[in-house]
Parts: sequence; C-alpha cells; structure tokens
Amino acid sequence: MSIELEIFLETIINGLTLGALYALVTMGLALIFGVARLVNFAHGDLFMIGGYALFVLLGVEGMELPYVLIVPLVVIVTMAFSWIIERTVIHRVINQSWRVHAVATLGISIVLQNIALILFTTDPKQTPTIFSRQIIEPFGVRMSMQRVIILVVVIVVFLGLQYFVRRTKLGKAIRAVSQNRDMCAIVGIDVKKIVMITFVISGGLAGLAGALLAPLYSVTPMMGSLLTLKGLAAVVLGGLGYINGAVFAAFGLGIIEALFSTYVSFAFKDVIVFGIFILFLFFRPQGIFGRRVGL
Amino acid sequence: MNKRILTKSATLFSLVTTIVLILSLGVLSTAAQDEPEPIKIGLYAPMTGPVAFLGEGFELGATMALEELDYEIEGVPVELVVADNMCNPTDAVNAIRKLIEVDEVDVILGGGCSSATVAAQPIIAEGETPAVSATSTNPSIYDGMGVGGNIWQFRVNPDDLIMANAFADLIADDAGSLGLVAENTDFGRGALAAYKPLFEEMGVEVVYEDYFDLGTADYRAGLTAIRRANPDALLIVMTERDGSTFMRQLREVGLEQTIFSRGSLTSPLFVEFTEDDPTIGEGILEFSFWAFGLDPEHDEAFFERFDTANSPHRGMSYYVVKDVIAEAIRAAIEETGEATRESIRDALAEIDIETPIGPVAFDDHNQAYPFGTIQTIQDGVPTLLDTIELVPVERETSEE
Repeated sequence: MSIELEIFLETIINGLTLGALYALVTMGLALIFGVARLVNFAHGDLFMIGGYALFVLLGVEGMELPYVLIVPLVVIVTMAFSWIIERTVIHRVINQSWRVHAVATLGISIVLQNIALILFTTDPKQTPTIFSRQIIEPFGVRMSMQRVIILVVVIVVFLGLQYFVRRTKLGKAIRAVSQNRDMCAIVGIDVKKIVMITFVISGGLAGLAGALLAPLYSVTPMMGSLLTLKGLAAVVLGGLGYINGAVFAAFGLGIIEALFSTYVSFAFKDVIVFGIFILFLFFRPQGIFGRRVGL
Repeated sequence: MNKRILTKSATLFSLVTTIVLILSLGVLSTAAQDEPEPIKIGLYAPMTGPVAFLGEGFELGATMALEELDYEIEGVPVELVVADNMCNPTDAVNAIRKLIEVDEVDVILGGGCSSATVAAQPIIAEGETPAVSATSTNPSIYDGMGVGGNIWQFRVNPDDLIMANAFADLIADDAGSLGLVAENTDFGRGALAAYKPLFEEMGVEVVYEDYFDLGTADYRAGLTAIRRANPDALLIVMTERDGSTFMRQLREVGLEQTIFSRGSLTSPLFVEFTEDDPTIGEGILEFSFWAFGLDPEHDEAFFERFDTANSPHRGMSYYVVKDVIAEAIRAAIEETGEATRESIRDALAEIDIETPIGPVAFDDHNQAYPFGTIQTIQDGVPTLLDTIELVPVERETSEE
C-alpha cells in the first residue's frame, strides 16, 4: 500500500472515530429536541459528568471494578443526574418558549461546570483502561482498541435506539409525543412523564459517551462545551429531531473535519464545520433529512 | 412630677449613650488608623476556561509566597486579590479594570497567558499600576514595555525571541526538517513566529506547521498530517493540559520523531497528568525559564504544602511574588515610607537581585534575563540538564 493511500485510510478512520464521538453526543440531543423541542445546552456537561463518574469509579480503592461493569454504572449515574435536573428545572420550564429553555439549560451548564471545578479542580483527570492502552494496527493504522469499541458501541446504540422507538410501547409513545403533544395528551399519554423519561435516556447517552471517550482524552470541567456546539450543529444539519439524520451528519462532520485537518489545516477545521452549518441554514434550513419535525 | 423625672432620665440616658457612642467610634477609628492599610497584590490569570489550571497554579504559587512572608512586608499586611481573565483578551481587560479601579490594588501579577497580558497592556498603562509578568512569553509585549511607552509593565520571564535565540541552534543540530505544532493562542503563535526566521537562517526546512485550539480533545487528524509531512523532529509549544493529551495521542499514533518543546511538557505537573503511562513524556527536550530541580528545597516544600506537583506557572508565580514584588514593596517602603503604585514601580525599575531562577534586573524595556533551562524527562522523572545565561537579542521593532 502506498504511503498516500495509507494516510488517506488513516484519515478516514480518524474521521469515523471523530464522527462516532459526535454521534454519541448528538443522539441524545436529537432525541430530547424531537420530543420536548428542548435545545439542551447542558448536554455536554452530562457528558462531563460521565467522564468524572468514570474517573471516580476507576479510582475506588479495593474494588477495582472491571471497565465493562463501570460503563453501565456511569450511565446509571448520569441518568440519575438527568432525572434530578429534569425534576428540579426542566419540567418547570418545558412549556415555556425556546428562549427560556436556552437560559435554563445554559444556567444548568454553568452550575454543573462550577460544581465540577470545586470538586475536582481544573487539573485534567486521566481515566485509562485496558482497552485505551491496547494498540492495534488494522490496515497498518495504529490505533487504540478503545476507538474500535466506540465505533461498535455507536452502531449498537444507534440500532438499539431505532428498535426502541419503533418497536416498544414506550418508544412509540415517545415518537407520538414528538409528533403531536396535544393529541397525545388528549388520548391519555402522560406527556410530562414521557419528556422526563426521554431526558433521562438522553442524559444516559451523554454519560455513555463520557465513559467511552474519557479514556482517550482527559476529563475537565469544560470538556463538554465545544462538543455541545458541534452536536447541535449535527442535529440541525441532520434535520431537527431526526436521530438518523443527526447521526449521519455527525459522521459526515467527523470525516470532513479529519480530511480538512490532514490535507489543509487543523487550526481552521472548525471554520469548515460551522461554515457548512451556515451554508445549510441558507440553502436547506430543514437539514439533510428534515421535512417535518419528528422522530 | 414622675413624668418630668422620667423625661429627664430619658434625656440623660440619651445623652450618655450618645457620648459613649461617639467615644467608642473615636476609639475604633483611632484603632483603625493604627492598623495600616493592607497592600493589595492583584492577580489576573485564567481561573476558569480550558487553561484554568494555569490560574490555579498562579494562585497556589502566590499563596505559598505570601504564607512564607506571613502575609506581611515591613510590618504592613499584604493581601492577594484574584481576578479571572479566562486567558482571553475580553475577559483580561475586564479583570484588569476590576483590579485597578474596583479593588484598587497596588501591584499586579499576571496575566498567566500571553493573550491576556497583551490585551491588558493599554489598561495597565492607563491605570498607572505596576504589573509584573511571570510567564507570558509573547515577544510583542517587549516592544510596548518601558521605553516602548508602558512604563508600568515589567516582565521577569524571558520571551520567546530571547529563548529561541538560545534554543534554535540546539534543534538545528539535530534536525534537517521540522514540524511545528503550537496551541492556537498568542503564546503559541508568538513562539513559532520567533523560531521560524531562525530556522530559515539555519537552513532547517519547516515541512509542517499547524495550531491547535485550547481544549482540543482529538488530535489524531493533525497527527496524521504530521505523519504525512514526515519531519525529522517536532517542536511543540503547549502547556501541560493540552500537551499531555497531544503527547498521549502522538504515542498512540506511533510517531517516532525527536520531540523538542517550548512550553511545559517536562514539568512535574505534566508527569502527574500522564502518571498512568510514564513513557508518554520520556525523552522530550524542553527549553524554559523554570525547571524542576532549579530549587529542590522549594519543589519539595511546594509538594508538601499542596500535595500536588510543581510547574512553571506555580513556580514562577511563587518567585515573582516572594522575591521580586515583595522586594520592590520593601524597597518602596524603605525609600518613601509607603508602598504606593508609583513607589513600587520605581522600586521595580531599580531592582537588581539574585534569585533561584537567576538574576532579576530590568533593562530599559522592563525585561529581565533570568536563567534559561534545558530539561527532559528521564525514567519518568523531570530532569534539569543545564541552565543557560540569557542575553538581550536584536529585535526588528525595538527602538534600540
């Protein structure tokens, strides 16, 4: 294999792993927007909570839990946090305008970041696992096993989410609420309860992202901020509320970003990402898949 | 009759109470006059944001210095006032205005990163408050200081032009081609702007140059680009937080180039951030103005006091407060009887001392020339290899 072909292949793999990172964050954002029309600016902070939960659980002396057991625990922790946030703030503002949603979730974000700052200081925390240390070389591209796990988990979670919203009773109720909340209320669906469940699932997805990605990066109070913005861009590009579209857009953004970083400039990759975002807003504001809002 | 007596008693009581109150206020006020006004040292540094650990480090260093001084210089109490500049120009201007106008500090330490220090310059000059930089290395700051117009700004640490002139030779001896990697800030961009012309003069080919935003999570695409350019060596300009993530992923990708650093990739704090894999920083050759081992007694005391590792920001903040600012305040009090903004500035301009980080005396641009340090990580331990005497360099925009 020529070196240029090897580099190209490596770039695509980089793009896919980056896309997987965005997809994990984006799925939760798209889900909660689809159901509650809530743009959750604190979503990245739930991702951060996932990272810190992993850090704490990995460090529990005397227990030394295996990583595969810690990941579901992290998801449970972030779901619990999401439930508390939903009960204390979200359900009080959910029927208000998007402006109130934005201010409320930004406020939650600031509070969570500052709590993390007080509890863990600003020093980045490392959360290595046996998988993040294990290096493999598929097609001559050196990468951590953790990246392969992330890719596989994203596909499994995506398919699982599809099955959940299409085949289960609760999933169907979530889809129904995403399409017509008033009608759902009339036919006896507890809309507020569905919003609460969706918010908690969305938080769990952010926590899963934190547990999977933290071993590759480092955990800091601000780690979720830029991710939230990029996740939101993917949600809009995919078509507001469409999980399929959001995941497609997340991988698209990841690959474009990787290609641009390798062949043009890493420094200006975000200019390209948000440039594409703005172009879409001009020419296809409903996004790639969007025609109407719904799951 | 009884009513009249009661009225008289009430009047008498009011009178006595008033006199007692007035006397008490007088006593309190005299006591307050006896207690001298504290000297306020303002610290502006990134306390939040992606490089908040730098501000935290500054605060730790300054706190330790003040603790050792017992929060007192020449019998006058000293206090530290902190303002967050978030390492960005807008917040730096707000932070410095707050320190000068609201907190009315007497002298300023900071700003912890070049972007903040560059932005704060006009406000410091306008506010006529002495400010001392401990770590901001952007060369452009030099031009405005002292005879450049801003007589209030001083810089203890050498800038990247001074250091580049001492370090570029060493890099050129080892590498025919180079990849340049820096954080996307005034620190990173200023440093590479200082090195590039020197490499050009020395015939070192720069085959890759790129900048990474603070807080970047995934560097792999940039690392693939470096692999594509295939330089002999890399010069990295980053601090510990971003540098540890970058180096971790560099090792994952398997790049085997020699690594040169002009940041803080060999500090104990970097080792702390990468303690799960001590090989991450192994062999990095770094040029700086602070190194673990320069003052082993302080390194040990710092760890004992805060249970965390020392770093350039933590160390420099400590020395600048304890040796430079405290010395200037002491001299100002001795000279004029009080430590005002002006007397502290005059004392700073006259300072000429030996410190563990080298000699500190300011030139006509208010720039000091402490030691340059060359260090590495050997077997997971930060190791000081050499100290170098730094000298003034020729500058294109200098008035000299």
